[in-house]
Order: sequence, then structure tokens, then C-alpha cells
Amino acid sequence: MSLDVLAAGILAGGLYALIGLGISLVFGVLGLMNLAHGELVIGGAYLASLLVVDAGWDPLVALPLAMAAMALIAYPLQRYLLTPLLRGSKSAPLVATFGLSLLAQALFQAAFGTHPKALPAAYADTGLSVLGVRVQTVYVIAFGLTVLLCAATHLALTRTRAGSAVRAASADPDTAAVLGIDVNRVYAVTFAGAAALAAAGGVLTGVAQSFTPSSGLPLLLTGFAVMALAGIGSVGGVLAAGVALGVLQSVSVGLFGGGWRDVVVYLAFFLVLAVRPQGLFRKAHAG
Amino acid sequence: MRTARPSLRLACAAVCAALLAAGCAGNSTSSAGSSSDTGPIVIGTSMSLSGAVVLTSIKDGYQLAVDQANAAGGVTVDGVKRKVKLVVLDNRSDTNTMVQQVRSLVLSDHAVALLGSCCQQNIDMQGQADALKVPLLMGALPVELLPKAKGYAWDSFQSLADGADRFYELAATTSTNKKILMVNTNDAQGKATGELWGGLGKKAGFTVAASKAVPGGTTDFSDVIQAGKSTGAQILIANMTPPDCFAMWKQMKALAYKPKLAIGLQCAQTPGWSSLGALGDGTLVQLNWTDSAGLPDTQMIVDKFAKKYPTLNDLGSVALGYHETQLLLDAVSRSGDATPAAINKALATTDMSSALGPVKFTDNKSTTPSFIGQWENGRIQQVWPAKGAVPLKSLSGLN
Amino acid sequence: MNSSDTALTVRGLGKHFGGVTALDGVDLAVRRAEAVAVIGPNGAGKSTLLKLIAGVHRQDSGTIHLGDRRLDRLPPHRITRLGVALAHQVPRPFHGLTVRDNVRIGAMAAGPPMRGPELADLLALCQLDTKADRPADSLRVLDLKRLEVARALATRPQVLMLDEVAAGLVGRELDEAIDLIRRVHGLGTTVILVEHIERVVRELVDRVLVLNWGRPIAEGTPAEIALDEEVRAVYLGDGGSSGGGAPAANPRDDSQDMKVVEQDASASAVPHGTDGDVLILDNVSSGYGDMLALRDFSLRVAPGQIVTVLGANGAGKSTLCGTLVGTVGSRTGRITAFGRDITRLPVHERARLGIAYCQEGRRVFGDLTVAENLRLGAPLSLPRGEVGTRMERVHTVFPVLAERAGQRAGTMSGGQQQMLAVGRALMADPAVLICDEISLGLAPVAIDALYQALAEINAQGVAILLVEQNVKRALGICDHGVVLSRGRVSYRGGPEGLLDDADLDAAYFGAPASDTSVPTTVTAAATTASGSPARTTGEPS
Repeated sequence: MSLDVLAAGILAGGLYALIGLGISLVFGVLGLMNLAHGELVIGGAYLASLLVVDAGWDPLVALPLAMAAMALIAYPLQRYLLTPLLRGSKSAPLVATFGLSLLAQALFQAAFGTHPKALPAAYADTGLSVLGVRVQTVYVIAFGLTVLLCAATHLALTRTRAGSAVRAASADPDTAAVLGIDVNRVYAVTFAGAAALAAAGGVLTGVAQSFTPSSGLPLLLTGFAVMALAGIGSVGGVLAAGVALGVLQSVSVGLFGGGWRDVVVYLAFFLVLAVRPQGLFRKAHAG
Repeated sequence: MRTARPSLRLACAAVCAALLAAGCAGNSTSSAGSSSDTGPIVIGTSMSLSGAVVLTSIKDGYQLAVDQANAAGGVTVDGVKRKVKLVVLDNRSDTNTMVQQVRSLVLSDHAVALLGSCCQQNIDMQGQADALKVPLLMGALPVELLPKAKGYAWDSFQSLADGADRFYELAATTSTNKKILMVNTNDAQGKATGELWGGLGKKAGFTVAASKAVPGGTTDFSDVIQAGKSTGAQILIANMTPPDCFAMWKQMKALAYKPKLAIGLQCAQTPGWSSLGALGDGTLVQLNWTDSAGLPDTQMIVDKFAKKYPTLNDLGSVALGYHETQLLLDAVSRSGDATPAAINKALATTDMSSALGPVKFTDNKSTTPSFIGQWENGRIQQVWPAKGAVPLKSLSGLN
Repeated sequence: MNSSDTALTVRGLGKHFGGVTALDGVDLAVRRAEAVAVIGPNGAGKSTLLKLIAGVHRQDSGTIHLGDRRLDRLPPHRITRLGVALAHQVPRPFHGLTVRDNVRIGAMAAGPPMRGPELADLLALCQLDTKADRPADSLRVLDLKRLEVARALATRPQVLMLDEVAAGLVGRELDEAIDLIRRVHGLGTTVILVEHIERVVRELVDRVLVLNWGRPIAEGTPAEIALDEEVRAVYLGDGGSSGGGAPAANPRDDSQDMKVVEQDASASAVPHGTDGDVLILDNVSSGYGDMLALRDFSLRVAPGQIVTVLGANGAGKSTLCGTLVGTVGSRTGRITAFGRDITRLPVHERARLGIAYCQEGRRVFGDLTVAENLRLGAPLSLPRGEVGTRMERVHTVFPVLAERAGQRAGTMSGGQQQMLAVGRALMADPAVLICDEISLGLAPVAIDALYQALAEINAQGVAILLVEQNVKRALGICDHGVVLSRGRVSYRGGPEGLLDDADLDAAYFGAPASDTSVPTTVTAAATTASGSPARTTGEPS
């Protein structure tokens, strides 16, 4: 297996991590498995396509706007739809996110059609040679941006009082409320943040690959695999897990051929769940 | 004490369950039609009009033929003009839904014949047609793939072998090292296509330098590209879903793999290919219809639908739907009593030329011509066969 | 006691959860067809004992035998099949199934399926025969409890363990529950009860084992236990310190008399209008599901006052706290804070009004640092400088929190965590501080420190509502005391009215004098029950 293939795997892992980060954040804080996360990713890509394809912007300029727009859409969804459901049965919000996922797909189809779209950019199909290893520029950008966003998320959660509030609401929502923290708002802000991260992942996916209204599902599964590998509650773990997944794919393709990629990846996934249900990159909780 | 959070394991199980539940969807029903001797003749189809696959253009083709027939007073059966009623149900690409809808079309709508939609659903629908003893006329299924069965399914479409032959004829006119990099999805169809194209390539004097199978949804093709580079293959045959081709084309360009010819089977036909911009220029596609080959009714179809469907491939789908329906209505008219059995019998003696070309069934199959097209500035133009074609351009997108 | 006569033998049983000792060297031998109660305050290890016997948890030391058969290495389902059943405090029927199916499924856990007549007998025994075909969801609380017992009995147990099955029942319901257990026992089933309701113990069992902090401290007949000084001390709580009186170190002792007088002028036993009151509860009832844990409760807390709410386990104290801060919704009545009606206000908004709450069990965020925990107590909108000032103020009260600022809260000792919880509540600069069982599980020296801190906090003008099991401590500091018994007020007035043991017992354990059918009491105070002026009965008779 060549270094090119390995490098591509590592870089692709950055994008996986970015998609997994939002799922992990929502699951960690809200205890909610967001089945519409793939659509948040794709939604970001479609929003960016309005600016990129129709208005000729550079995708990286459109990216912060797409993030902000997705956050604005996600906030009321969580605050006024999912949070009230969270108080009821555990399965209701899960089913609701699945419904949102189908609804979003239908909306994408109606608005943008079913044909695949891509976000054109100069760096989408250019490459870089570093020490004789040739890599795709967009994946280098994606990796850098992922590291940046992971670091920002980590710092926001650990170095700010609002971040402490999020962690407190995650650990013990009742006590957080007693301390005057508006837990519903914390949930909505977290969900909006996750949506913004998803949108960033969507824009980069759109530049590096393509998207259709139904491409959310494979992205959800990828993100889910990343979260399972990483365990809950560690931003650094998510980044490591994304890279691990990318490398695992590359190695399995190199050793066994492309046909075995998913077999190897999901085998590893189930092994991790069986042996370390808390995730690869997290210490087991005592008690 | 803190409340227990749902565990990761539980969440995994929930996700799996939720995903399994996907794909169930509703459908519309229509009022029952009668099959009395003077009432309208009901023909029906169940196709995917929403969800992941939307085949509106084929449906428009069906409707065009039916509207034309009704505008002329209907189809003449045994000297009587009878109106035709087309019942179209949406199955959202779900096979179970399709099966139920086909049964209800025949049993409660009293459809005397069925129209096929596309691809795998055609094969699944064939079983129903045979079981219900109702003729099914289909296109969009390469004639080699029509299973042998009880004779109620009829397929008029291009053949895989023809398509490959046309490509190799075209490739032979260019100067390449005749080495092929073949990429197929790792499913049965991908494997079959790979074998067929490989075999025909050898016959035509080409060699498969590298062949790779990739699972659907692959986004990282660096090992495929590596293989192409190291073997120096100058001809790329990619048989994948559109998103996979999009990702691979971008990566090929970025990693500086520069084949001289590239054809995207299944993937490059999509109008979305134009969103690749200049990167997509020069890529070849297979066509079952072009507006420049002088096929029947070309101008009429272009006039009516060029505005709604600006791309050649969508217009080709309209032509396909129109073609199927015309063949079926022709058989209805010749059947004498418009019963399923009689229509089925009449189909065997079809001898006409429709939107995809001349049709005569042998073993329920009739091969229509294949064409090779090339993307240029967001449009596909016929580049082979030479009649009606524009000259082949270089693969500028990847070079 | 030879083994053929003994149904269940527990020897030297010990269990730790992390660093907490839940059980330590417990011995218990239960004869066939005997009824035994295990009692003790919160955290005594009673439920842990039952769970160890049922195999839900594994012991760290000791053995458990059923007859000659060793149980403690078997999985729970094997133990059930051998004839040990556990009925839980909170019934968890299978929703959507009928009562009959619920019982039938219970029967499937053990051996051959229960046939029609046997099932019918069991349902009749539990007085569920008329409701057998109803969905379990439709049952009221008493019938849910019956169903829980029936499900346990469906496994044909030799030994039936009941974990506070009478909790939340009152009046006639309680009579019915006691009757049911008596009938079951009468059929020859060995019964082990864990119970807080003294009447249930008194009427049903022959022998009582008392646990405190995982250790057995007394064993005997209910009458013997009632006279045991150590048991009384544990129940009325003096933090384990000897002597049993109010701690001498309490800084409030000197000023207490004066305070009482002052308080008597502003807020006496019966609530009356005082606009300046920080908290007013007016005929509030609340609870969970079908159970009302607090009934028609009224209370006033004046500015700067310390009010203590006492009562045995299950008296409704934590429900009162939950109702005040909004985690438990009130059914009827009105809650006013600082002149504003907050009955329907969400939890976080009440907190922002200046009501700080130290929950039972401390509830610090273990993964966050001490400083982060403290900062969370302050409103997010508060400027950084002001947060720092408040933190310094908390640090002067609890210097240890400054030393440990960067440490993860979960790694501190229980006492330090409790200080953090109080400190965190103070970060909100509250006008009233509600403390739920802040001395629970702490060493006497830690309790001393906390109570000293409470006095300091109060001296700064913060009103305190102190919910305690540790009666002596709480009475030593408060201006005004309320005793809750089964959701109702049984005493209201100055702490001096409770200093006498007999009065306290009467207020705590209801009014046995009104219950003529009772021969003995766990507490020995029945004779002096009528002494206290403001005492009301705990339960309508």
C-alpha cells in the first residue's frame, strides 16, 4: 500500500470527524440520537450551493453563512419540537428526528431536484505534493478546518462559562436547572451548534464529492461510526476516531481490495462496541 | 442520583431498527376503470416518481402517447374507437409497494396491460406480469438482463453488448495505448458489466490493465487511481453511481491521473454532471436516443419537451416512454378484443418503427440502437456512430 | 437454629460502591414462615441487603444461603427459581399488558407455568381478581402495589422480600396493604420487609433488624427496638455524636432564645399575612404519579429566618423541596416568592429569582472542576469581575474550595462536595437557601463545619430552609420548626417545642394514641403524645 493511499485515508478522516462531531455533541448533551444529522449536513451543502452555484461565491466564503443559516434553522427545531418531546418517552424524539430526516429529503427534492450537485471550486480538483505524497487540496483544507472547528468546540466547552453550562446540563439537567441554567435553551444552542458543524461538513463534502437529497444516510452512518469509536464527550476523541476510520478504510482497501472495505470497517465497529462500549478514546466511567 | 442516559449500545440498536423501518411509503390510488367492450382501455404502471429516483420524464412519454391516441378519438379495437386510460402509481422505488400496486392495477383497476419503469423494478415487475397473465412492455432494461420467463414481459431497449461495441469502435478511431482501467461497483450487476465489457474489449484488441471493484458510496479512490497510474491505462471505464463518479473524477484530476478516454456508465448520464463544470468536459456516456440520429418523432419530442428537459438524456427518457406506449397501443389495436391474452399475442407480431427505432421481437426482446455521447459545456452531443455525430473532442476535463 | 428450620441465612455480608460502604458485616437468619423487618435511616443499606439476596448486586464479602443452598454466586434468575422473590417500592408493570398477563409473565420466570386455578387464586389473594383483564396502566396506586406483590408471588417464593411496598400509601390504602402482606404471611411464606412506615413494621413482624451505615446496630422484637436508645438516636439523628443533645459547638446556641422571640413575633405557627416573607406556601399539594407526597402544606419563611423541616423518611420533605424549586409540579395551592406567584414558573427562572437549592446527595458535577462548579452557580450574564467577587466570598466561608479550585469535583470527599454544593448555591447570591439533607452521610466534624457555615451565611441575611433528618443539629440552629409526617404537618412552632424527646417522638411518628388497635409502638412516646400544643395528627383517622 502506498503512502498516497494512506495520506488520503488520514485526510478523509478529517471530514468524517467533522460529521461525527455534531452527532456526538447532540448525543452527549441531549442523549438524543439525531437521525436527521445527515440532512443537516446536506442542508448546509444545498444552502451553500445557492451562493456558490447560483451567485458564484467561493465555497469557503459561503461556508460561514451556511453554518449560521443551519444553526438558525436548527435552533427552533430543537427548542419547540424536539425538546418538548424529550420530556416524554425516550423513543419519541428519535422517531421525530427520523421524520425530520424524511421531511428534509422531500424538501430538498422539491427545491433542488434529485440530480447530484457539486460545489465547484478551484481547489476541488487540484492536488498538492508534500514530500512526494500527492493529496487532494480540498481534503487538506477540510482537515485543517476540522482541526480548527474541533479546537474551537473544545475550547468553547471547557474554557467558557457557557461551555460549563452545556457540560453541566449534559451531566445532570435537573441540577443545572436548579442552578438557574435554562436547560431547554442549552439544548437548543447545542443542537444549533451541531447543525453549524454539520453544515461545515456539508459544504466540504459538496466541494470534495457531490450530494443528492438522499446522500444524508451514508453520512449519518459514517458519523455514527465515528461517535461509536470515539465514545461520548471527548472532542479530541472524535478527531482521533475520524482519522482512525479513514486510515482503517485505506488499510483495508490496500490489503483486501475495495470490496472488503465496509466489511472490515463494520467488523471493527462491532468489535469496538463489544469490547469497549465506552469508545476507543475514552476511559471507562467508574461506577 | 443522575438519570440514566441511553447507552451507546442501545442507541446503536435503535438506529439499526429505525433504518430498517425506512423505505415504507404511501401511494396514491385511483378510481377503478371498467374493461367493458366500449369503455376506456386501462393500462397501468407503478413507477418511482418521488424519493431517491424520480422518473417523471418517462411518465411524460407515456402520457404523450396516450394523449395523442385519445386526441385521435382513441385506439381502434375491432373497428371501435376506444379511449385509453393511463393509471400511474408512485412506488417511491420500493419493491414491495410496487408489487402491491401492480396487483391492484390489474385486479381492481382492470388494467389490460402494464408499462415497465426502469432497471431492477422491471425485473421485479416481470414476475407479477407472468403471475397475473398481463402483458408488460418495458424499456430501460438492457435486453440481455431480461430473465427467461413465461412470456408476458416484453423488452425493447438497447443491448449491453451493442453499447460496449459502439464504445470500442469509437476508441479504435483514437490513438491510445489500448490499456483499460476498469472500475465497477462490487455488486452482481457491476461484476456482470465488468466481465461483458472486458470480454468485448479483448475481442476488439484492448487489454484490461487493471480492474477494481468498489462498494457503492466510496469517496476515496486513491488506490484505484494509483492502479491507473502505475499501469499507465489510458482508457477509463467507470461503472458506478453518480456520487461515486463525481468524487472519483475530482480525485483523478487532483492526483493528476490523465486518461485519454473516459466513459461513465450509469453515472455520467445524470444532468447533474454539468455541475462538475469543466471537469466533466470530454467524458463519454452511453445513450439510447439522440436528437441527431434521425430517429422517428425526434422533432416532435424536442418541440414539446426541450423546454421542460433541456438535457439530451431526459429527452431520451421521454422518447423511451413514448416508444413503449406506442408499441403497446399498437398491439392493443391489433389484438381484436383488448384482452390481456390477445394483446400479449399481438405483441409477438409487432413490426413498426417508433421513437427508439425499428422494433421486431425475438424471444420477447427487441434491440434498439446504441449511441455514444460526449459532455461539452454542460451538454451531451452524439459522437458515435458517425451518422449525425459531431467530431470527438479530447478529454479536456481530466487533462 | 438448625438449618432445616432456617429459610435464609446471611453471614458477614459486606458491599462497597466505589468508596462508599453500603453494607458491612451484616448477619441475619430468618426462620421458615417468619416475618422480619429491616429498618434504618436513608443510606443504611437496607435496599442493598435485599438486592444482594436477590442477586441483583454481588457482595464483596460474606455468604447467603437459602436452606443449605448457597445463593450468592448464582445469577438473579436462578435465585428467583430457587424461591426468593423481590417486590419493589416503585411498581414497574409491563405497560399495555393486562393485570393477568403481568402476573402470568411473573410466573414464567420460575418453573412450570401457572395454571388457571392457581393464577385465579393468586389474583384473588391479592384482590386483583375483579381487575384481572384491565390493562396494568389503568390501575391506581394501591392496585399497582398489589400487582407488584402478585408478580413476586407468581414465582412461588419461599421467601418474599418487600422493599418499601407500602411507601406512598395512606389511610385505608395502607390498611389494605398491611392486610395483604398479613394474608401472604399467613399462607406460610417467609417475609422480609424493608419499611419506613412504622405501623407496617409494628403490625406485621416478629423481629426487627436495625441497620445504620451498613452495620447492624440492634435486633429484637418491635417492642424491644422501640425502647433502644441507640436506635432512637439514629432515627432522630445527632450525627452519631454521643450525648444526643444539641451540639455544644453550635455558634447559634447563645442567641437562640432571642431569635425565638423575634421569630415568634413575625411568623408564628399558623401562617398569617406578612408581605415581606421570602417564601410562602399556601395549601400546596404535590407528588408523583398517583401518589400525593405533600398534602395541603402551608409555610412561611421570613427574611433572614432559618426554618427547619423535619420528618422521617418518606414524610414528604424532598417533595417539599422539589415543589419549592419547581422540579415537582404542585397540584393545588399557591407558592409565592418575594411577593410574586411562582407556582407555574419553570425551574431555572425560580433559581434566577434568588431561590438557591442544595439538593440531597450534593449533586455536584463530578467531571467539572471545583471552580467550574462554582461559576455555574452564578448567572451566565453576570460580569466576570462580579463572579470573581462572589467566588471570593464563597472562599471565605469555605476556604477548602479555594485550595481545590482546579481539582475535579468528583474526586473530593463527601464533606467537601457538600461544601461545594452549598458554595455553588451561594454563587447565585440568593435571598433564600434551601438545603436538603446536607448532613447526610457526613462525619460529625464535617457536619460541624457545614453548620458553622450555615450560621455565617444566615448572618449575612440569607434566609435558610433546612430540611433535615438530623433533628438535633437542625433544632440547634433554627428559628422555627415544622415536622412533616406522611405528607402532613404534625408540628409547627419554635424549636423549643421539640427539644423534649417525647414531644419529638409524637410529632415524628404520628399519633398512635388515636389508633386504638395498636398494641405497641416502635417509639416509646405514646403516653406523652398530647403534650405539644401545636401538634396535629399526621393522618386523618
